Amino acid sequence: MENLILIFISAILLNNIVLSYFLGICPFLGVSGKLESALGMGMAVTFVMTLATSISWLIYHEILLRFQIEFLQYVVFILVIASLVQIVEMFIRKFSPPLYQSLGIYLPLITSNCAILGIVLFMVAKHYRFHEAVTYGFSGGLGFFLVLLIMAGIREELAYADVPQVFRGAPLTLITAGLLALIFMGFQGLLGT
Amino acid sequence: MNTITLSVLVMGITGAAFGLLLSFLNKRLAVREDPRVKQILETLPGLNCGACGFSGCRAYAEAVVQKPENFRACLPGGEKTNNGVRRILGIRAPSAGNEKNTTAVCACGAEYGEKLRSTDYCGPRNCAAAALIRGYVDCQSGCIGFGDCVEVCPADALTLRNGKIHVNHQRCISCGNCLRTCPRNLFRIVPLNHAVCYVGCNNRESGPDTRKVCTRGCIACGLCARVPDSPYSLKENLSNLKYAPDSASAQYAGKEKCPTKCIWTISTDQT
Repeated sequence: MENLILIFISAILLNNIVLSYFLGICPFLGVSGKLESALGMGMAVTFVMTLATSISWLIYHEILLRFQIEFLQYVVFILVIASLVQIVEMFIRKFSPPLYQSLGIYLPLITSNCAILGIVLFMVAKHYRFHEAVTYGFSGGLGFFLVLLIMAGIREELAYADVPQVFRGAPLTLITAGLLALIFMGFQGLLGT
Repeated sequence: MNTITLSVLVMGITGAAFGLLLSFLNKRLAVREDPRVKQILETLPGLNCGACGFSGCRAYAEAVVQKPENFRACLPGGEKTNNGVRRILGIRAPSAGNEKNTTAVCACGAEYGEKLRSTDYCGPRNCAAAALIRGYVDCQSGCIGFGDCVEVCPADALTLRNGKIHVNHQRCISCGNCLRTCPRNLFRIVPLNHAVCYVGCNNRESGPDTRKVCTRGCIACGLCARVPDSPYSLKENLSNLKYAPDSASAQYAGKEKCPTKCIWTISTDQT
């Protein structure tokens, strides 16, 4: 149990997928304009990440390791992620058309979201057991969700600020992201060495 | 079993399994779209000009299918398109009048040479930038002549020749993009059924001051306003043309009187 809490906290704060590993930057910058779409995107990524880690774990340990064909892991993981994204897209399109509209192109782009493949590959590299892997996937997604929400909140407020012309738009967003990453570095000391 | 066959088998089976799952879910979760949206979309010209007030043809089609009250006359499409949309929706045609019968005109008819340019300009070659530093031409209300409007015109109706904008009135779809783009607000939408002429000047300075910067400008002499039943009147040192029904001959008579020839006929400047 202690172990799971440790994984949970470390994946969200210490080794945040966006701000420490710099994975998943595309949706982090692209969908963080509005709080509402950030919420939807965060939920979709968290969902896909949790499912992807659990299914990938099963496939990796039950099939790939058993037949000693681990080199297939990249291809198989991408297959799993792509299919899951398609399923999530269908669900969202059916049950929440406004969310589908606001996520736009970023929803199918979760397929190529490196954060998800990253989490799955880290999960394999860290030799997690099943429940640990699922916790890791879920908390990795939550970490992404959290950072996306913080970013969207900041950007919504910044939209009303009087910003010098040269910093408007992308430059300010990138500076904000850099400052956020600095802040998250402060969590490094949280669990001691 | 060697590694290659094993890999092929594993990939094949996982791929097939996910494929089957996806196609199953695709059937179960299919979203039924109103077929009329697609029909309307095919009827519309697809220019996405936004003249109807929606963000594009698709947004308009979806809105009008949901609520027929959202029906707006599609300006580029003209009567044929609008009747088609009405037929798909099953609503009756309102009284005529809001179909394509307008066109844009540019209220500066002077060419380079007629409008004075006493400064040299080497900044970005667009009107928006030039307007920031009071323009390329001496006239502070006239056409700068870099053709920002030509670029935003979705119908290819505008051409720029020697600093003067020519509007092809057959092509103009009255979307209003040029109105929004021109930094000097030179464009007007005029009714084609009543308009024969338009005033090609926007300079509100007094006659002598206008004369200093342009030989084609309106000097507010008022000759056009003095023809019988004149639709012209003087307003802010500028001839102001009111498009009343049956004023065609008076419009033309006023144009003939203009000493600086700053009143243009719509038919002759077609390109």
